[in-house]
Amino acid sequence: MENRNINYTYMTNLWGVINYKQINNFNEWYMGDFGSAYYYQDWDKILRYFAGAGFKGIEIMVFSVPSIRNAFGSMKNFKEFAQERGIERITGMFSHHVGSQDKRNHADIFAYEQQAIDALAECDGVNLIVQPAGQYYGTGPLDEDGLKNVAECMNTVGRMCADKGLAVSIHNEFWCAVNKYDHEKFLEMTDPNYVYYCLDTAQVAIMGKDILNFYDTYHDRVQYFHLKDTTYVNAPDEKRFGAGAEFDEKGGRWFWEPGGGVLDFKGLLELMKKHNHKGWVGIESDGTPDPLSTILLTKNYIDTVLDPIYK
Amino acid sequence: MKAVASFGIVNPDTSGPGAFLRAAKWYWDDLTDMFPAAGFSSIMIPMVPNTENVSRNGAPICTASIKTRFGTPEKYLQYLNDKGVENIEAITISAQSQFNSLFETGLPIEKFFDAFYEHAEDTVEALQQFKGSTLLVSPTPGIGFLNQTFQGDEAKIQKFFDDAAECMNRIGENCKKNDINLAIRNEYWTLMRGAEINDFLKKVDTNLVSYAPDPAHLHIAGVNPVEYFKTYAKQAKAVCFTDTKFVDELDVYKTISPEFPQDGRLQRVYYDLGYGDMDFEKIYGILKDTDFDGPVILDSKYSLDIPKAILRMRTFWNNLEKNHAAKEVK
Repeated sequence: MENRNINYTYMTNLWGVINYKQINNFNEWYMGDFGSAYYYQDWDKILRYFAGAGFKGIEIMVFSVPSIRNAFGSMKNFKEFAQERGIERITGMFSHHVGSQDKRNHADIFAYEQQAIDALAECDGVNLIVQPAGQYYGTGPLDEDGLKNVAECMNTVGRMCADKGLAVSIHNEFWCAVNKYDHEKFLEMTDPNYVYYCLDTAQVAIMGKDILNFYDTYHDRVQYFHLKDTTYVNAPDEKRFGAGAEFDEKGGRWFWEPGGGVLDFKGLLELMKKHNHKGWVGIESDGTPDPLSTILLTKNYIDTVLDPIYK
Repeated sequence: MKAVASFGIVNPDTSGPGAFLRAAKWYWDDLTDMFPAAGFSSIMIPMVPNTENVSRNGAPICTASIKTRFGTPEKYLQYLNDKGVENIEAITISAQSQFNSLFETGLPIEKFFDAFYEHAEDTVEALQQFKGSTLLVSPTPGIGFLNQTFQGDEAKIQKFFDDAAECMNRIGENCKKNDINLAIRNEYWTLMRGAEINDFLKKVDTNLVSYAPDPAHLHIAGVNPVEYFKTYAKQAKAVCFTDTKFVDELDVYKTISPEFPQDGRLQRVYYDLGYGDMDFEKIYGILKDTDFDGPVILDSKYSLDIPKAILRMRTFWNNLEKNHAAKEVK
């Protein structure tokens, strides 16, 4: 591998749920339908698309764990299968703490997260990326006790991760119960020894935060990233707090590949260089209608815009 | 007979361009219009248990997601009526999706049937408000999953089979009280696959529980679908039409990935109706001969080209009716 300070890893959720390990017979998926389904059903090809585009790491969703186990038998088998196809590391896994504002739910969340942590450790992962609470609609705003409970939940999961040699990081969705008005406060309520922050550039910008200012201030805590772009900075509360705000009712697109929106990634890379950031940097492109195009556009943006600043 | 188009045509858990967007409401707004455009005024929806994660979904995938998006089931029905869909004739729930939710809910297997009953109870309540007639239930998770859970302990698996029958009777009582028909399905990977349905039906109260045969699932389980339709057409409150070319050469039914065979030359299980090998003309004739007048659930399950498959489904049904009428004339 080229000697770099940062390497890019791609969250696989832009593909949906991948059910097959490897499809063996083109004609079975083509004849009669005459479409392209054959190319998008299995991990074999999807991993090779990432590796072919030059990405060395991937991240997975916790919801994928059952289907990966069904297809591969174990997470370890999955890791080895990915490595054979040029993916050097399964770096991260996204999970969530729905209901964490209520302490009575913590035992269930810890049981659930232990499964996620074990699965991530089994594939030699790095970082559990966690939505700290459920959606704002129906849950927010959180009072002081609620926020404290969410933070305590993160701290405990942070210690559980550390026991397995993993890190946990906060991934703050723009539609999460932890939101604009308690974003930094919440981060400061968590234990810096165990809880890090994964800066999802689009989510945080849509929430109304200046991503450069936030990173510059909290760079010690921001050890992980989900780089994605948006054209919708500082969305009003009613858009973020509505039912199912993650998916715009009319089909409007929240997220774009880096370079497809208005965020200042050049400025962010300058700051990463200033703070000597090292490690895996995630790309997330949920919501794209065309994953392959998005992956290739992203790689080109990294090669031509980001790498010349810092790599 | 009433042709009812299934929303199971969409696999919400699949991969490919746009797969992620199947959870968006706009996707379903668009898709829902296509069913009446193809001449279907009645639909069946497969539903999963309510969990926090799926309740924010824009797809009508559970009662919670419908309530989140539309407020109440009545308001969702009004939305469907405005689009030209008259009712939700049936809802399918499955023990497999209940089992899948255990990962997220952390519920122990010992509480399985209590949770499944609650899921059914909630669904029946919604079904009444949708002006539906039938709750379709798949009573057990896959054999592979149960073998894994009970580490192959036959006695425990037999007890699970018996508990499933008891649960179906409970669900059946609730359905009867609410004027809904209960019809069970026997997918090829479940404990009542193929001929096992005969034993299962001996364990349930057939005044409360009916059986909805499905040719694809019977065929894959290695029995003759036509014979099962002949045997069970009279008691049926609903039947399901799914098509396949799949032959279970490697006993995929025993695995933990039965619908997505990981090995072998055959890996695609479902085909759009009319594009597989099932003899629907013969089955349609049996149903006509027995004066079956319930819903026929048309399930081009997990289609690879959904808009095209909706139109294909209409062509399929038109051809069945036309060809049967031509035979009658002869």
